[in-house]
Amino acid sequence: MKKSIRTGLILSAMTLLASCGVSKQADTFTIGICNYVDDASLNQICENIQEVLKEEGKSGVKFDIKYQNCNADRAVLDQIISDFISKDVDLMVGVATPVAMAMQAATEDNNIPVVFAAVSDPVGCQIVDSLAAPGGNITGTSDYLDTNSVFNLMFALNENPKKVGLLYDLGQDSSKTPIADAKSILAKKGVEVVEATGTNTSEIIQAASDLVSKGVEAVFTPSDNTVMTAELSIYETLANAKIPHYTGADSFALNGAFLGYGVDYANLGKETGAMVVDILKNNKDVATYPVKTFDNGTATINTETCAKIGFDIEDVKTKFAPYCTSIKTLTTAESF
Amino acid sequence: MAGFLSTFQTASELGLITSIAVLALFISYINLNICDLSTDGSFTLGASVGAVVAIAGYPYLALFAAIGAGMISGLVVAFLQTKLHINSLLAGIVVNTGLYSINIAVMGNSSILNLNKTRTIFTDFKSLLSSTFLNNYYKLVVIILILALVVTFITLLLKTKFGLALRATGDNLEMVKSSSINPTIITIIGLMISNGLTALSGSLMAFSVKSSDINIGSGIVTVALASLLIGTLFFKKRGICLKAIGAIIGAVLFRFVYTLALKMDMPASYLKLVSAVIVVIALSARYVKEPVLRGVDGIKKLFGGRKNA
Repeated sequence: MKKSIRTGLILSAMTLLASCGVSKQADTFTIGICNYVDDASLNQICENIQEVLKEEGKSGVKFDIKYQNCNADRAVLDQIISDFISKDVDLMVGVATPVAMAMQAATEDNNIPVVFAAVSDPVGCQIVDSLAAPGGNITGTSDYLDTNSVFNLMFALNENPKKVGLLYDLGQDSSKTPIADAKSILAKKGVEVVEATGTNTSEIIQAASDLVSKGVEAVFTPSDNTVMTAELSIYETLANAKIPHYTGADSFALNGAFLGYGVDYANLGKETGAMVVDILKNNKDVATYPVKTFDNGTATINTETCAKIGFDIEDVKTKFAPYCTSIKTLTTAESF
Repeated sequence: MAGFLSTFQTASELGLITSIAVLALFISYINLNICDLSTDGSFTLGASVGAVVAIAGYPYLALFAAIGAGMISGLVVAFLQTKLHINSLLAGIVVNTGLYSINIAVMGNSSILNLNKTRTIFTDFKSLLSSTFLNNYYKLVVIILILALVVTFITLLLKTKFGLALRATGDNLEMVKSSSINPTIITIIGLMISNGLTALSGSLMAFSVKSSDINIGSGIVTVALASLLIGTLFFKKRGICLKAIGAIIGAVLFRFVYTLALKMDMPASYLKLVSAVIVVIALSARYVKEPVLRGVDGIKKLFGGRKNA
C-alpha cells in the first residue's frame, strides 16, 4: 500500500516536471500580451494585435498567445510578467505605460524582447533612449498626441474663444504633456483657462458640470483614460450646454464627445502586431528598431452631439478640412 | 523548470515585501483592534516618497524618509480618531482619500515614476552579491534582512511595558483607562508605528518593481488582511514572534495562490474573487475544521443538524 502511494507520488511529480518542460515546436512563437486595465482604447489595441498575429499564423509562423489584464494592480502585474517569463515567451507585449515600464524592469537581465503599445511619452518616462534608436530590448508604438492640431480644429470653429476648459485626471501620466502644451497654446492666444480634474467617474461628472457653470466655450481633454471612462456620463451635460468637447482619441467620440482627434487605436494595435511579427520572423534587432509614432490625421465627429450643440455638420466639415487628413463621422455607440 | 521556480520566487518576493504591511496590520488590527483603512494610501505614500528621495540620489535615506512620511500619516489618522472623535474606519478612509492628492504632488504632479536606472538598496545588493551563489536571490536577501529587523523590533516592542499597554488598549479599553494609562497616546504611537511599517513596505515594493505609480497600493489593505487571517491559522496560541512569522507565511501563501491561478491560465481579473474566497476560508476555517475532520457526521452537524453533543 505504502509503496503504491510512493510510486504514485513519483509518477505525478514526473508528469508535473514533464508538463513544465514540454518542448516548443520550432516554428511557433510564444507571445505574452498584458493589458493594463479594461478601457475602450486599450482593449481595441489588444484585440487588433491578436488579430494580426492570428492572421499571420494562418500563412506563416504560428503564435501561441497568452493574454492577461492586470486591472491596474501593480503586484499582480509583476506576477503576470513573471508567469510569462516562466512560460518561456519569446516576446512580451506591454499595453500602456505602467506595463511597459514593468516589463522593462523584469527583462533587464534576461533580455526578452518587449514591444509596447500606446506609451504616450516613451523617452520622457525613460523606456527608450530615443525614438529612432531605443537602445535596449524594448521598442513599440507611441500614441503621442499632437495637441496643437486639436486646438487648430477648435479655433477653426471658434476663432477667438474667451474661456476654454481643460478636463483631465491628474493621476494619468499620458495627460501631463498635452495639458502643459494646451496651457501654453491658450496662453499665447490670450484665452482664459479653466482647469477641472477628477480621479474617477463621479468626480469627472462634477468637474464637467463645474466647467459648464463657469461658462467655458469649449472643453479639451487629451487621451485620458479616466475621462474616457466617464464620457458617456458627461457628454449630454456638455452638449445641452452647447459646449463642444474636443478630445484626444476617436473612442471619445464613440462615447458621445463632439470630436475625437488623434490616434486610431485599432490601427495602432495592427501596427504593434506587425512589429511583433517583423521582429520575430525576421530576427530584427530591437535596440535599433525605431519607435513608431502616428500621423494623427483623422478627425472623428459625433453627428448626434454636433446637431445637439447646434453646429451644421457640413459647415464643420468644411472648416475642419484644412487641418486634418480625413474626417469620419459616427453616432454614439449603444454597445461596445 | 527554472522558469517554473522563478514565478514562485517572484511570488515570495512580493509576498515578503507586502508582509511588512501585514505586520503593520498585525499591530493595528490584531493588537490595537483598529481597522486602519488608510493602509492603501500610506503604502503608496511610502512608494512615492521613497522613489522621489532615491531618484534624488539617497537610496538609504529613501527608506527612512518613507517610514517618516508613513508615521506622519499615521499620526493624522490617530489624531482624527482620538482628538476629533471621528470613527476609526472613517478616519482611515478620509486620510486614504486625501493621500491620493498628496501622493500625486509628491511625485511632482505625475502618476508614475521610473526607477529603472535608479540606485536603490536592491541594486546595491545586486552588485554586492553578483559573484556569489546568492546572485539571483539578491532581492530575497534584502527583504529577509529587513524583515528580520522588523520582526525583532515588533517582538521586542510588544514585550515592553508600552507594548503591554498597546495590547491592553485593543483588548480592554476600560481596564486601560482605569489603570491610569492614557489610551490616546498609545493609539497615536501604535498607529504611527504601523503606518511607518506600511510605508516601508510600499517603498520596498517600488524599489523592487522599479517604478512607483499612483495605483501601487490599491487593494493592499484587502491583501494584507487576507494574509493576516491566513497567518492566524498557524501559531494561534503562541508567542508574538511566532504569530508575526505566521503573518509573513500568510502573505507569501497568498501570493502563491495567485501564482498557481495564473499557472492554470486563469484570467487575472478573477484573482480578486480568488482572494475573497481565501478570506472566507481563512475566517471560517476554525469553525469548519473540526467537523470536517470528524467526517460526515460532523459536516451534518455543521449545517444545521441538531446539536446532540
